[in-house]
Amino acid sequence: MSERELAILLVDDDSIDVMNVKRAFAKNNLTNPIHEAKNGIEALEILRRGALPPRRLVLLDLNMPRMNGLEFLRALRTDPELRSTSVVVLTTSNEERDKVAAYDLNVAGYLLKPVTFPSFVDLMASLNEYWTLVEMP
Amino acid sequence: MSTANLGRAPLLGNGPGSYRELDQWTRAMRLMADVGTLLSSSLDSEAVLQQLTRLVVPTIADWCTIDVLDPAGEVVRLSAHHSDPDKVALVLELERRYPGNTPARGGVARVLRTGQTDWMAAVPDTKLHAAAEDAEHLHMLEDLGLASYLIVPLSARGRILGALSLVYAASGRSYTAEDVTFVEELAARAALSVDNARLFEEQVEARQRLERQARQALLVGDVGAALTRNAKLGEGLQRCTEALLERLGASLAGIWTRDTRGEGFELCASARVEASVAGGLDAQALQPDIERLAQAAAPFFASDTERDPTLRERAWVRAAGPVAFAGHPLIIGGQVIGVMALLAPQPLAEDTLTALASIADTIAIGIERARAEQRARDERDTLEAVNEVGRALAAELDREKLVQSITDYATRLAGAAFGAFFYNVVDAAGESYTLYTISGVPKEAFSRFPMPRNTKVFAPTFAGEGSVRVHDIRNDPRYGQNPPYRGMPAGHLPVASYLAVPVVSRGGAVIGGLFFGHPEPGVFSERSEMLVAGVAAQAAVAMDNARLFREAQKLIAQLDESNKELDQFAYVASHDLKAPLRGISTVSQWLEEDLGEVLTETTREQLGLLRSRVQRMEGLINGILAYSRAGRKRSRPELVATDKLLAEVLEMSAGPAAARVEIAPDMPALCCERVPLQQVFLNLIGNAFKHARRGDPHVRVTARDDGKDFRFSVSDDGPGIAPEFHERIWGIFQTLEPRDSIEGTGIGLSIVKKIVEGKGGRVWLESQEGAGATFHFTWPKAERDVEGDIGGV
Repeated sequence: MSERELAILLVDDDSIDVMNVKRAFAKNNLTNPIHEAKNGIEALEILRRGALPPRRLVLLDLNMPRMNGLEFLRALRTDPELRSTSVVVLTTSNEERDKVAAYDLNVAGYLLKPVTFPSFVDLMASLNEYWTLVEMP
Repeated sequence: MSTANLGRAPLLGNGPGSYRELDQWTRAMRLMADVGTLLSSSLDSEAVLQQLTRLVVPTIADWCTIDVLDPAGEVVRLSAHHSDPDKVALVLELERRYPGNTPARGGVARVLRTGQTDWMAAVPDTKLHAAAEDAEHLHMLEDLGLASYLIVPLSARGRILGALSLVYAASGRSYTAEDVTFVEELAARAALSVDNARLFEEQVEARQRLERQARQALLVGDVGAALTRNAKLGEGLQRCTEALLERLGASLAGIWTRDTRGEGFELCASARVEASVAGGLDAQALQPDIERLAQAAAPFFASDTERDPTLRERAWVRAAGPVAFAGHPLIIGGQVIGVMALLAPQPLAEDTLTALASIADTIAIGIERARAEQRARDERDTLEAVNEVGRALAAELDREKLVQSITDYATRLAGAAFGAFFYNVVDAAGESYTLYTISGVPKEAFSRFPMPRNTKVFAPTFAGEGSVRVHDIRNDPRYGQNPPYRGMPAGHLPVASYLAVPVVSRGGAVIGGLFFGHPEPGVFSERSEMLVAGVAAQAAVAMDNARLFREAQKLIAQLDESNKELDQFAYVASHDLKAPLRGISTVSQWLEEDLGEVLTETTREQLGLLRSRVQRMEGLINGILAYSRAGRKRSRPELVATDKLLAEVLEMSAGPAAARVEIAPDMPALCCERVPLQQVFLNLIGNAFKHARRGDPHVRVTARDDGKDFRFSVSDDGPGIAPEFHERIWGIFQTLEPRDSIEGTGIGLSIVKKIVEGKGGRVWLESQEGAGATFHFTWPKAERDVEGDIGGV
């Protein structure tokens, strides 16, 4: 794995959705390490543990038990260590209020599930390329 | 004949007998002088004339009579005198026994008639005999003697007042012509004097009458002024009684009016002259006679109460002594509204009674007017009071405060010492009422003994039978009959006057009752009852409103709650229900991918079916959510141009490229919520596209003015719908095609129906199988702006 390779933290409690993401990456021969968390609490714990390198991206579902996506985002943005983490929301919710809330918490993108499989794969490939180019603090 | 002639004395020395003549003349002159003195001594004509007869006898007559004409024109022997005192009675006897039938008498009649002197120097016997009626008569005449007579008229100012008859009898004298002249002169003077006296009396009487009339006019004036200038009736009537004393010389005067209960009369004003005997009385003493007089409704006069048969037994009559009593009823419209009465030390003249009658009317009118003004003032006060209460109550929606206010107001208006409002709530035993509010005393005063029982006293009020007003409930047979209490329970508030008014809602149900009490009896009048009834009516309305307001608030809160729940449900459903579906779909795709080579046509097909069912499920879920949301979310009505709205709809609906949509040129603008109307058009046009059999469906949208609504129509040239299905298609998830073969879930029309009917409109279908379909719906031209957002934000 190159130092510029992006590590992914996939925060989603739906196992099929998780499998979908992994499959997409695999299909595209993307070898980014994918870490998983079932909810916001787990996600925070993983991040704080330092399990991920600084060059990282959080793919965040909104609808999760215990600590949902928006709550996680709020916690993230108030944590001085973690506040600059890039987050892309990956959710079924098309509600305006969710979008507004997410962007208010400075997400880098908002994607809707279900995404048709091929396009999802393309999306992940694009993401990877993009983040490879991008400088990270 | 002038006195100048009399002054000519016969010359002395006129021959023998001249001394006698002189003596006679001197006596005549003396007589004349005496008569003159007599005439000027007194105004009492009768006495004077009587005295005159004594003067002329025996100087110029042996006996004489004076006859006068009475007011009726009858001849009356006024006076007679005889030189022989014993015979005076005889003269009068003669007149009595044989009236008008003596020679002298017959002469008198003639003289009275003609005013000419009648005399005879010597009366022959034959005449005497002829004049006598019978032997007795003749005897009397001879006894009296009638030798010569002279009858002269007493006339003055052209009027014959009477006749003076002079007779010589035993003295042997006879009348001469000179005597005639002399006596005529004498008679003339006497007559003049009598006439003067009469005139004088008439003048005096006239002046007295004028004075009385002047006083009566002043009395009428006083009464009028008293009643118009005094603001209070009592003061005005007092002035009237004083005027009666002043102008009519009464010593005691009083005016009675009907008492407030309308049962009898009470003394309203009185005045008396302290110094008089009748003044020692109190006008109150006359009460029984006043009542009787009012009963009879007629005036009553007694010029001497001590002699009057109906009055003389009274104690006050005996105390007052001889007085005149006058009483007059005061009548308005045939009703006796009062009595005026007075006592006077002198008899009352006829015109005084007439004056009383006229001022009686004035006083009656004055009383009635004062009463009417009072009634009008009371009405106005009542209205103001009730309106004030109404205004205050209308503003109050908090039930507790409202009921307390009602009780306070009503207690005050009724003039009660304390008042209470009880709700009409009966316990299981069917007895108690819930005390709700109290006014006038602290709540503890009522708390010490159990709720008022379903007693006979309270029952009528709660039955809504109307108001109950009792003068003194301690004497009321309905009270105090409830065991274990006998009479008023110990610790109970002291109640004598009692008033109870039901509070009845507009629907007729008895909400409760207002109860008032006062330790003194007779406090509550008809007016208090009226006032409280007015308040009770206001109260019923106010309480109804408060209740409705409360209920409305509850309902709104419930609706809000319900809608929030629904929204929450919808939100959750759309995620949680769909997530597994997504999973199924995804995995089935993976299966297809991963099992690629192993799959047969059949199994591939089966996986396809799996996915399509998943899609259907998602569609159904979306449909439910859409249906539940439809029509709930309220927005503000705005001015919507339907042509522009339809243009947007067309952009939103993905129809076949070759579809032709014709929108009528006269599409209206209306004031409505934009989104629901758009949804309806979207669904209908979408349906038309969805069900089209051709690649180039033709859809037409038109509008029509329907009075309060617009009627919109969406027509297509699709397959149409057979009439037997026209009802069914509106149901949720109802489709006419097999569920797999179309994209729709069958929810579109149910949403259309829900939205349109939610606006109070109608939606219906015109279609035949194979002949296209036209959907019509109505929409109000102007929607009211609903305050607040019933569906939640």
